[in-house]
Amino acid sequence: MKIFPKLLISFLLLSLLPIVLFSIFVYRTIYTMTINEEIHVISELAKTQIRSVTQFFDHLEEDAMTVAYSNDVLNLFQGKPDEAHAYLKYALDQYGLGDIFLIKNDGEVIYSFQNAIAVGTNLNSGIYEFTELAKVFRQSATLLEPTYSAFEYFSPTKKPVVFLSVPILIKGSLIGVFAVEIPAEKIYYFFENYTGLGETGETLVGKKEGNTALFVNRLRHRPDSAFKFSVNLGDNFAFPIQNAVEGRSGSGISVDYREEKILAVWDYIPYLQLGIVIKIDLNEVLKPVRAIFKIITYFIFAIIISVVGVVIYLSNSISKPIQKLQEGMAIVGAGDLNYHVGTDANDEIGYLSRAFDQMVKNLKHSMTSIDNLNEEIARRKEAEEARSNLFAMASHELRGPIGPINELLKIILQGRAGEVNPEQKKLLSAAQHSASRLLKVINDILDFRKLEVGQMKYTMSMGNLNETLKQAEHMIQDVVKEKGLQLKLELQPDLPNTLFDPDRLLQVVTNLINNALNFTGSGSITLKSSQVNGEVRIEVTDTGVGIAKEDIPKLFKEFSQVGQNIGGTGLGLAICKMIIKDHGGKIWVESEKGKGSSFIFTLPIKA
Amino acid sequence: MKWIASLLLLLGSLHAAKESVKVGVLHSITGTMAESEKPVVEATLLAIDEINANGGVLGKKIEPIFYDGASQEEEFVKGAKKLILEDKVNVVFGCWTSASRIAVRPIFENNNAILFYPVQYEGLEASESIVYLGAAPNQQIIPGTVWSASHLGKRFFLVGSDYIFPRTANVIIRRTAKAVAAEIVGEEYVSVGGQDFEALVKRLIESKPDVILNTLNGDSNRYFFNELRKQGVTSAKIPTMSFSIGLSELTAFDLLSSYEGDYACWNYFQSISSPENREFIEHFRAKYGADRVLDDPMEAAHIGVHLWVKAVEKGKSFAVNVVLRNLYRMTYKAPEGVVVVDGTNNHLWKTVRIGKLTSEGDFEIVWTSDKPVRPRPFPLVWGPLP
Repeated sequence: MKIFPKLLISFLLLSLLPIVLFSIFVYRTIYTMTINEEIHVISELAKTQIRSVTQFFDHLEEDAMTVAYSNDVLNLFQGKPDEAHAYLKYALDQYGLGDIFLIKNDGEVIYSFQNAIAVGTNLNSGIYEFTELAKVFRQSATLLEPTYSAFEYFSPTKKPVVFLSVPILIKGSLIGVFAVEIPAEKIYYFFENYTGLGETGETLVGKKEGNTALFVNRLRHRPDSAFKFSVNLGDNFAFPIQNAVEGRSGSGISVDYREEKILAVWDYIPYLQLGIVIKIDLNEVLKPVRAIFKIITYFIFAIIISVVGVVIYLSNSISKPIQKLQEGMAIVGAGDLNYHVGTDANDEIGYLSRAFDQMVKNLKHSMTSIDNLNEEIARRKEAEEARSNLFAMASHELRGPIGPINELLKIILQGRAGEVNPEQKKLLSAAQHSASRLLKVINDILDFRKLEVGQMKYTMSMGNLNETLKQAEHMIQDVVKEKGLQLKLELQPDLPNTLFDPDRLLQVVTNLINNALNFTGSGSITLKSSQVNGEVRIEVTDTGVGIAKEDIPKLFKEFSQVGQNIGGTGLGLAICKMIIKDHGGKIWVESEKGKGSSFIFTLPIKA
Repeated sequence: MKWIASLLLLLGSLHAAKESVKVGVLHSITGTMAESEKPVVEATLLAIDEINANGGVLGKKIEPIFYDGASQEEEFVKGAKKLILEDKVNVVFGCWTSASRIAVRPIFENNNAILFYPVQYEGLEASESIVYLGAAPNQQIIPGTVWSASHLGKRFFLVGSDYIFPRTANVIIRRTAKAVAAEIVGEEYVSVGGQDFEALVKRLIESKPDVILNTLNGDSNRYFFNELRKQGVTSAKIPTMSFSIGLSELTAFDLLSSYEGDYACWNYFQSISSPENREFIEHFRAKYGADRVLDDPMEAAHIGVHLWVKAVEKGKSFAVNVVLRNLYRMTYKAPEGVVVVDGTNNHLWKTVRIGKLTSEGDFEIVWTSDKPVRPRPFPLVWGPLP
């Protein structure tokens, strides 16, 4: 991945990741805290409202009992209505009651303040038999205690009401009940306080009716719904009221009758078998939280934009110089050594670029030197080759006539062309020796040339170098005797066979012996063979003048004439070296000035 | 090696201890009350199983520790002491007879523990350490008596075991009878566990009652009804309204056929058709057998466990004062309908029902208060006393 996206991603991650993670954590914490806090607030509200309404019911019960047992009411039971009327009016006004009834324990209505029910009507039969008033009368007469009815639409007054029925016992005997009618407003009053419930919060009160939950009070969002609006138990909304009317209390996030998300607390008031729900829209609860996070989101966007800007600047300041360097390298790599990147920058890339330019300069110098060298080499090689060719050609031309000269002189010396007198023999002999020597020199040059260009042909065979040494001794012993030297042989008897060209190795040995002869005035020449470490080792040792250390390296080079100028081409040792090398062996000399020399070569023993 | 094993054991038990909360169950499974209280124990344990199957309470499994009260107050006292002081429980579900409850009450009040008491009783009590799950007199005895007077007849014969509940109940019955112009024609007591009713039944027949109001407790009932039928008293001739017998006792004492046509007054009957009741019966039968019957104290005990769990989860604490605070005004949709813990006296608002035993061995509900009735453990003063 390129620098710019790398930097961009890293910087964005580095700057945004902690903030985003932190924001998420904070959001969740604040969200939970806000919800819990609000639930707590609403719970307290619910507790207060329920406590108020409960107190109302309790006080009403107590006061109803007081009124029920007042002399005025007891007199009423005995049939004296007028005296009671003023007192009952006072009670009615005091409590905002809708009506007051007296009912005998056989069900006969003997008094109705508002005359809503005709005196004499029996509640155990007829049209009123199943009204809440009749039901609560019978219940309180069986339970023998003040009893509240459920909410209902009371048809005589066409209003939702609740009844409280107080059994009256005179001297321990039940004579009837004292019942009051409480208008729904008295109850609604406790639930219509929206303090602490913001714009959307409200209290719902409902009762279970068959398989529905009927909303009993006026809804904030549906003002006309009291006693008219209901939801079915099992609908997939309005869960709080469904639970509340069933007697299940709880709290949490839910869905209300408008199918809106709300935060609610729900409970049950056993007095009137009412479910109560206090709720507030979730949006309203979370408004401040959401506002904060809007700001944080903007903040994050601002960060993203600034980070992108900074990264663009940064990455340019890094990647442009690198790019320049990259281009420079490509151009130089393609061969243009005159190119330089050139930069004044003081950072690491600047240093790198300048170092690169210096390197290119140095490279250019080296290349120029190398070019010059190469030219020189080519020129010398050409010269060498020309010379070598010249040599070879000259030798060939020379050998032509020399061969016959040598042979003819030999014939004459043998007396095959007539008698030869001693004076003539002496002169012819000297001439033949010179010719022979000249021929050898020419052959050497030719051999050397062949070896030099790798055109020497070998005829390899397995043989024993001891034989070669014996042959060489045989050939040279006369010459050695002539010089007054001894020729010794120290041959290892069980010398293993090796692979070699017998003629060439003979040539090598003979060369080495001739060399030794040239440098040995007196003493001996020893031919030694041995096996050392898997190689066959041949030594030609003399007791001659030895070779100075500084001359040893030049020995095997062609045309070297070390020591006395004895004659010869100086090619002998070079030829030996090449032949031994071609056989896979090594040749060297061990010598000290004044102490004689030992020329040694080894050949590998091939299995 | 050994010390590793014991360390693991210790850690394991600590872990287990952390994972569970201990509660006490204190009932008689031997003695004269055994047939009444055994099913209550079973219902208590069923409720505990249901809670544990749902993950326990506050993440801990409930571990019930049982003690047999053996139908003796002294054993109940011993049991309460052991459970609270040794086993360190702070909540016990238990007791049946008022005698046993009154005996253990000081132990709970003095050691900061709660007793959930599942049986109807005579009232006149409102300990802050007891949650009264059964009916107070105004939720059973009074309406039962009034209804009997208006539906069965106004001549009452009272028969009961000789201890505080029947004695106090009969005082209340007398007052109630006076209120509805009914007459007490006889009042007899038999010692707890008593089995000889021959003479008593004779006297009962002679007094010519319209209805027998029965507060006998325990297996005395078996002998009473056997004797009653033996002497020719059928439910058609003289019906009985019982306040301490439910389906459990009728089944255990073999009275299902001889009690047919007689009455009981309770808050709960097996025949209530509510989804919660269907589930309750299903779970109970699944655990204990398809032929088992359910009655009021069993349902009340079941409610008790669930109320405790709800209060603990609401207050997020097992501490007694927090649990009690959260119990007040707690509502619960029980098999019998909605019950509410009253905010002033630790009793439950309960619906009142009267049932008549049918030939199918179940109670047909002949009267209901239709709504939860406020508990009044202390009777109302209705003007001047009789």
